[in-house]
Amino acid sequence: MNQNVTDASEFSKTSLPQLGQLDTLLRCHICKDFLKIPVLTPCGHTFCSLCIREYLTKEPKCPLCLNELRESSLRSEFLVNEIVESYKSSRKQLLESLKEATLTVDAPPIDITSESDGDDDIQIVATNKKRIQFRQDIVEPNKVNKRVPKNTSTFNNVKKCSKTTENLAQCPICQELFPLKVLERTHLDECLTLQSLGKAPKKSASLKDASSSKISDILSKKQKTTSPYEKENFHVNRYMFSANSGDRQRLPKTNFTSMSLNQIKHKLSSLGLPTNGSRQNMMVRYNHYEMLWNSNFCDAIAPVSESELKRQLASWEASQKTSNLPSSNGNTIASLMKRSNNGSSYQRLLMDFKTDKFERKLWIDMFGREFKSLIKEAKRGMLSTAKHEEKSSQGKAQETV
Amino acid sequence: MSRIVKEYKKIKKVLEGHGEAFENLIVQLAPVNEYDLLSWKATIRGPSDTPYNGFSIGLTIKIPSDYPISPPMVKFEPYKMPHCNVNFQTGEICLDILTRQHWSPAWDLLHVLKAIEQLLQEPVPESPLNVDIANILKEGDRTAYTGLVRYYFCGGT
Ligand SMILES: [Zn+2]
Ligand SMILES: [Zn+2]
Ligand SMILES: [Zn+2]
Repeated sequence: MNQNVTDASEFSKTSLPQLGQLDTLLRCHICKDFLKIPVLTPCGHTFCSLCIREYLTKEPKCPLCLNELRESSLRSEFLVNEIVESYKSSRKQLLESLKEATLTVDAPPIDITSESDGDDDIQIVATNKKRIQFRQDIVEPNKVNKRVPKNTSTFNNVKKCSKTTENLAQCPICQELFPLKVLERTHLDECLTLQSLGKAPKKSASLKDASSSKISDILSKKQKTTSPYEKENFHVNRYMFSANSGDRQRLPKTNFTSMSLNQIKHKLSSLGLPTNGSRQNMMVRYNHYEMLWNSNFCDAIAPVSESELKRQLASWEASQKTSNLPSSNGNTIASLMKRSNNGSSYQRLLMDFKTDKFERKLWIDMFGREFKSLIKEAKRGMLSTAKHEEKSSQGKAQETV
Repeated sequence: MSRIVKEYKKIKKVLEGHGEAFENLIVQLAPVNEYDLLSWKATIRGPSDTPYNGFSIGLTIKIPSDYPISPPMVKFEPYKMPHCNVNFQTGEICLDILTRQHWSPAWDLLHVLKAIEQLLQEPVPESPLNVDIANILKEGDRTAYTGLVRYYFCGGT
């Protein structure tokens, strides 16, 4: 019904239905969405940092295997994070090109599902060699890079550069590669002059302008400009240069039972959090902020700022309020959020939908009609089977064995 | 919140026939009010090889605001359900996976209906909410069990 509610079954009608497994594996089993700041448990299972942290405040066990689990044993998984992010960034295109590929095949579709449990590629290729081959021909021009994990970034790097700068030529004096024009116009003169002076050649001001096409510079990764290469390899690079810095303190769990109201207020304001609302409100606020904080600063590969965390907190509180209507005398955060959300655009809500701050009420107002038609659609499917059963249901026995 | 939206989409697909595993179980599973996904109703088929075979059984499902961290609240409604683990008056179900302690947020409404089907197939008279039926089961009187269930379904009170 909208682009945000994606699920693995979207691949079932493409030429590669087995990709649905990958799509499922990259999702969190709590929120069913793509893993967001994934963390690994000691039992080998992966969830969104926030999802599992929230669940662990209720039950100390792994949702998948039900083994005992403590929050302190969660470890961030940067690699999975980048795999998910890079997959997400090409998922739509991937789906589209796989659908196109299916359309172009005029022969009846191959029943791949019946032959494979998803990972038995060899078997598929063997029995359907021709057609699969054909599909790859269609898919590849659309830049579906199937071997991304195998490429080291350096390898990619060189390949890309030689492709984008075809007219590179090597300077016969310093052996460096330059675009032919640069070499001819300025570099050779410089290099000759420098050599005759007995100095090592170095970059001149004029060369710096053209330096983005100089291989050694690209390889050194010190460029400030975002080349296509950098965009394409953003996730690879972010992973390779990631490290849990640990320069932020973990926010501790707080036991409020022995604290006075003033102490609680002090605690909140020392973190820059609002101190309005009841004691209960403030405790809930702190606990959620503690979760947001630890997920962000302990688990995230690219932590957001404290002010962003506070925005997330306010938004979360607002959503709590709206889902517990009717309580009209909302506190300042909730009313603030509501006000700022009045007249919010569909796009904005969609964005929120992706994150934690989805506002159900507004969504319902906006999409009530769409839901209705969806439901009608679903009912139509069920009605035929349901009708005759309803008649013979409760109160009237059907003759059975 | 988006989690239940996702489930709704999945359920729709399953009921359209993409998930044959549920074909024999689910007659209906949908939100009550057309645009409120926190309140659902379900109709399931009584499993074969049980006294419930041939009957359609109604359930109501309430989704808590922190779902799936907390489990859904499921009851047999609007009709009274004769089963040793179901409170005959309220429809309350004694099923471990519906308690916070045993619930897993990795499960969804389809899992819940499967678990309920299993409870219909394998009643647990050791922890009864309906003592009469539990006693009959403990005595192993299958005929009386079937007769009693049928009696209720056919309008007995
Ligand atoms: Zn999650
Ligand atoms: Zn586990
Ligand atoms: Zn040179």
